[in-house]
Amino acid sequence: MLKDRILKFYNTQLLGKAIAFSIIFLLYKYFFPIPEKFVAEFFNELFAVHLIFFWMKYVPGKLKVTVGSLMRLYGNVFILAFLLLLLSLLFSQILPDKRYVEIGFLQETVVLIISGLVIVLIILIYSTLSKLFFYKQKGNVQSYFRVMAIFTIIVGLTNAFDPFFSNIVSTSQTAINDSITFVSLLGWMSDFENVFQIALIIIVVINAFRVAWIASLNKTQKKKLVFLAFSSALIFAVLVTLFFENNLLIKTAYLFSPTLFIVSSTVALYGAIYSLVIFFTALFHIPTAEEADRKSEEYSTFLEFGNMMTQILDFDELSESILKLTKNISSADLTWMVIDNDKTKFYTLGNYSESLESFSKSYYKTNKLTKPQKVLLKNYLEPEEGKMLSELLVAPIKGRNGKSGLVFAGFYDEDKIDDDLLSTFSGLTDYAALAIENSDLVSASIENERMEKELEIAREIQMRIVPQGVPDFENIKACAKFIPAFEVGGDYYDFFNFGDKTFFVIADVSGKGMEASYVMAEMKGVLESLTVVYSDLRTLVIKANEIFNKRLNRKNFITAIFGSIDDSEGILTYYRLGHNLPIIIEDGNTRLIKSKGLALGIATGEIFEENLEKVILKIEPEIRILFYTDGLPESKNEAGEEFGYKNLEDLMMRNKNAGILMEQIITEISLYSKNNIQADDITILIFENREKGR
Amino acid sequence: MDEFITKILEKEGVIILSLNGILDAHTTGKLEEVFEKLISESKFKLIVDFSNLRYISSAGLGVFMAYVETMRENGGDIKFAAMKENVYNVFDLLGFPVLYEFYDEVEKAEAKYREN
Repeated sequence: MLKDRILKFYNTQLLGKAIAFSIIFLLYKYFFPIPEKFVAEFFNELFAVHLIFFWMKYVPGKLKVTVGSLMRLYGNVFILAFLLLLLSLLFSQILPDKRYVEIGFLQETVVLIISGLVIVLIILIYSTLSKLFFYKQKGNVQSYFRVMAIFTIIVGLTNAFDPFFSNIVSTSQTAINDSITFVSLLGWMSDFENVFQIALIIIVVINAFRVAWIASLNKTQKKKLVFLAFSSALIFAVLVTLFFENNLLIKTAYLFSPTLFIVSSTVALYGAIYSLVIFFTALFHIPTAEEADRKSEEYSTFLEFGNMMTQILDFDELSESILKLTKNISSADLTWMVIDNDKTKFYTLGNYSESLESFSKSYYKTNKLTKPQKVLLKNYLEPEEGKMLSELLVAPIKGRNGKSGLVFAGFYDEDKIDDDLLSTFSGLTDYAALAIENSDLVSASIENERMEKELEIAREIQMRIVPQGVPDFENIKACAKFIPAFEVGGDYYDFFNFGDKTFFVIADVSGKGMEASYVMAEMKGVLESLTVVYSDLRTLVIKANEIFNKRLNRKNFITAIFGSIDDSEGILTYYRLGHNLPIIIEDGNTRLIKSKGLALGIATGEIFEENLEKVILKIEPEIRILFYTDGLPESKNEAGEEFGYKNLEDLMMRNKNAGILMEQIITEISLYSKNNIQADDITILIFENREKGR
Repeated sequence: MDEFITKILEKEGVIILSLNGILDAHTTGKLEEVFEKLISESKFKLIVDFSNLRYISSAGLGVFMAYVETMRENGGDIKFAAMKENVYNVFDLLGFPVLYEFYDEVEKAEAKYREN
């Protein structure tokens, strides 16, 4: 219980207690500036030790240490030590040189301020050093540090009460001469003070060898550290010697608290030895620093590659990152690469001569590398004006799905490439290949998603454009069916009022997806208005072609059949505009109806008009005519064979009714192509004599 | 992926472009590149040898439509030669034979260029 309470007291609310003890100690100092009595000195030291303890426990917890801040932290130690030195040199004359001397209120205040500054500096130095001490230390190193602290306090306390012990011993010795008493035990303890001091020094030296943090520095930092540590060691050494001289530190500390004096001198001693150890360690580390730097660079490069794989998806950006990282890791003067994906592409970080590109591409074509290689250049490459490359490191990128290539690192100086670098490169290019592949996969999936969304919209447009059902005629029966493909194919059919007749269209827009559905929508609008304005079919066809020649881009066209139905006469008239030939059954035989006619959007004016051929059919009871889009005869089975015209004609022969024929065609087609994705839209339009269907 | 290969042969100022494989929406890009390259090199007199082309889709037709005008404007042409029947039927259905010159042999197309 008591133990728990004590532990709790010394481990919680550190800042509050540190401030509280600072205030208590300050007030105490004003009331009892000179603790002549043992009891007064006891409380003086009690408060001082607590003050130091809580501050020293609180401050290190607030300091953050990272690889990047190591040098800065040690730099701070140097600055703090320098300030402490400055302080002691400046104020050594102001202060009284003896303890237990009565001084005025003003002087007391000055002493307190300077002592406070000394305490602040000591605590900061201690906190920073302890942070460095614990950096990257495993195991129970904390106990080493605690032992050092405990011994410091013991030495400090024995020091503080030494005068009293000596007093008691000397006075007692005159009184009681012989026996070993309690008093002589105290005397013995006072001598023992030296033993504690020696032990403390040994512990300080042992603890000074905790310098693992130096390994985390790079070469330039280590070079800086050698000078910094040397200077720090010098300053701390001066401070330590000052503690044994009659100077400010000794005065302040003694005036203030003898324990504080010991703590300060221990910190200074520790600082001196620690800096010395740092100096030598850094000095011996420098020759191997370059190698260590490269290893750590390598490590962080691979880490970066890992990040890259998930973050950079744009290929150009990715290639730039790859080149930057390879440049860093190899310390090459320039890096570039060729990536082969259908076409061989060249990537660089800067603008270099064309010879570099042509050299790299031809090198890629002629050499099939399996591992990184060093290439000495006999006929020098000159990527920049007046600068010749003397050696190259070439490493292959081996992608699994097609993409492969070479990464180049060029050096202007010789002998820069060793086996180590070659092996590093082979790991690096594996990562690069993975990153490239990943970016491909992700961009493919993004593209897929975009295309799917687009398709969805296109399909929706198409479904809205295509009419629901067919008009009812008196003498002619019409059947229509539209089967959309997964990828919108551009099929379209429609009916419009056309004077006293009915206009019909079946068409296939070249192109697919969004583009096709857009043209289809446009077509519906164009026909909707043209059927109102013109009553002659031929004129309508010519006008429509004029419009589409302007509207369609050069490589697009529309194949169509534009027709009109004269229901009262039972006559069907049409123009075939590059569209698939209709199939007719008459007199029990089927045939394809051939007629001239250019697709819409491929020719203008005379040549288009000259090739228009009107087909007029009287829909007699024995006649049935089938219009369709190319998706129907070109439906493929598993073997890739087309459904073809023969099958279509057979189906027409077998079925004596438009409705049943339609059903039959759909069934047959879906059976025929059941294991294949329907590649194109299928549209079927059948006309027959109404008598027939009854 | 269906393969599609092009081969270029220059004969007395006339380019004979041989197509091999399948020309559809997936492979038109390659053909477009060839045309762009020829135009950049100011080569406008073309004969396309279709003898090894197995299939053409409407997207494939579109490529010829897109470039034939450029060739003609520059005193050249695209002449179509040696088509298999199924490929010719696609061109025929659309009415291409009215607009462009078709030959059953490459030599005949060459002769036509030499005439002028």
